[in-house]
Amino acid sequence: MNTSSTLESRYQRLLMLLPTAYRERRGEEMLGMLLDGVADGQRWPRAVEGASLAGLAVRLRTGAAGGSVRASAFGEILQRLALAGLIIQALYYASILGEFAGVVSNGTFPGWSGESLLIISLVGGETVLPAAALVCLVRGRSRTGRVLAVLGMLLTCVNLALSLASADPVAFIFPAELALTLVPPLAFSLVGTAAVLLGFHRDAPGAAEPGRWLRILAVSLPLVLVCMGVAEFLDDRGSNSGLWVGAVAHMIVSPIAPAVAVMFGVSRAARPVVWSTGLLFLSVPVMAVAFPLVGLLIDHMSLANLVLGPGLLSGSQTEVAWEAIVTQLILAAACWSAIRRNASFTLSAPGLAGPA
Amino acid sequence: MFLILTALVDQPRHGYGIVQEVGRLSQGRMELKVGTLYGALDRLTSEGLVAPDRDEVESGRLRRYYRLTEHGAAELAADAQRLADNARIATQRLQARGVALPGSTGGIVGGLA
Repeated sequence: MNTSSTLESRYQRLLMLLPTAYRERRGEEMLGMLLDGVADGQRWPRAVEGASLAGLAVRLRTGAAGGSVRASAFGEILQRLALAGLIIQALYYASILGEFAGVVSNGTFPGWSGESLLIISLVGGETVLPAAALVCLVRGRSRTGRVLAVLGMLLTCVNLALSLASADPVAFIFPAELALTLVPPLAFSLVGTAAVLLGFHRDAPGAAEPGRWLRILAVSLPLVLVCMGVAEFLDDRGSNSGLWVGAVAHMIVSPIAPAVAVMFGVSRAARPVVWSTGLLFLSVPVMAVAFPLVGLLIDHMSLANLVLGPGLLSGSQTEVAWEAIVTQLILAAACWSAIRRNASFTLSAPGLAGPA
Repeated sequence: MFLILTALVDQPRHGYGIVQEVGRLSQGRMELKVGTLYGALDRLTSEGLVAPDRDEVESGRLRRYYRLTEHGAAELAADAQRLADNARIATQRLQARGVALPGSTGGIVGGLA
């Protein structure tokens, strides 16, 4: 075998990265182009060519033009998950800002220090960056949106690293409490940012229904901020109603991501398919675990207490128990809705649920 | 996208021809990679800005030629006009500030005090 045919077979192996249908349609043409650009004495494909083809292979499987119907549906699901993830990140940190505003407004704030300034700056960034990333992504500024989403994730990493460094393990009632408080926001941020990077690549189509996403953000962000601020304010004044307002705010934060993802991800996607729904389900546990549990743990209440009943029955943490129960019911309803829609779609159009 | 469309203005070109022409147009600053080129061609084709023109086999290699559509030409013209307007505004403001433009022979326009 001479050098030319060896190189050609290596290029052919490289092209195997591409989806089969695309390779059958474009492979011969791309191989010709690659061989046209070969330098004298070249025996191996250049690394940049391999990286470029690998990138194209990923983009084709996540919604780029030229990919399959299934890949297009997957890309749409990823985009909706990414946008839902950004909203929930912004809401989660907005709820912390709201609590902080409540503490400051009721006069119990001990005063500014370097540490409190740093924390509030980080939380502010973690609120603003996902919100700004969402605005950029739905307005077609994907590159800026991706950068902002990654910056938001980095801020979360820094914030959690600082929390871990300064945490006092004795202050936590259960051994797993520290990890459960720190890991879910990080896991959620990583999953959400991955969805942004995969769903909003340079060859991805624009986000569907941009106005709807902006309206969701515009309504829910101030709502959570105000609810948490009012809850903290009333709580510190010894009012029971503050606890209930806080529980409502937590409920808004907790179930909204999976609910939005299901409502706008599966039911409204152009071509719901089984494995894209599977991806959605993978994201649900992260969302399901993260926010209700963090809410519970922040209030120093264990999951065991909730399940066994004292939290619900004793009256000391009733609002938190109800918050968790309502959250889980909404999650269950969202999952059931997704399963039914997917099943009915598969039954009515089996061809679209098979391999594309 | 802009340079790929520009490369197809005068004649249909195949993939490697587009890469070479874009390299010439950008004076070597941009080297299109295979994944970038075909991702862009897929998008431009789906938007109706570019269309396959013909297939040829040369030295045993398939070469698919692409041409600029009328819609693509109109989009490129609009983009070119927008960029020209932006460049004109920037040039006027730089001249008003007395900044020399690269390639100009008159030194700093208006001089410096």
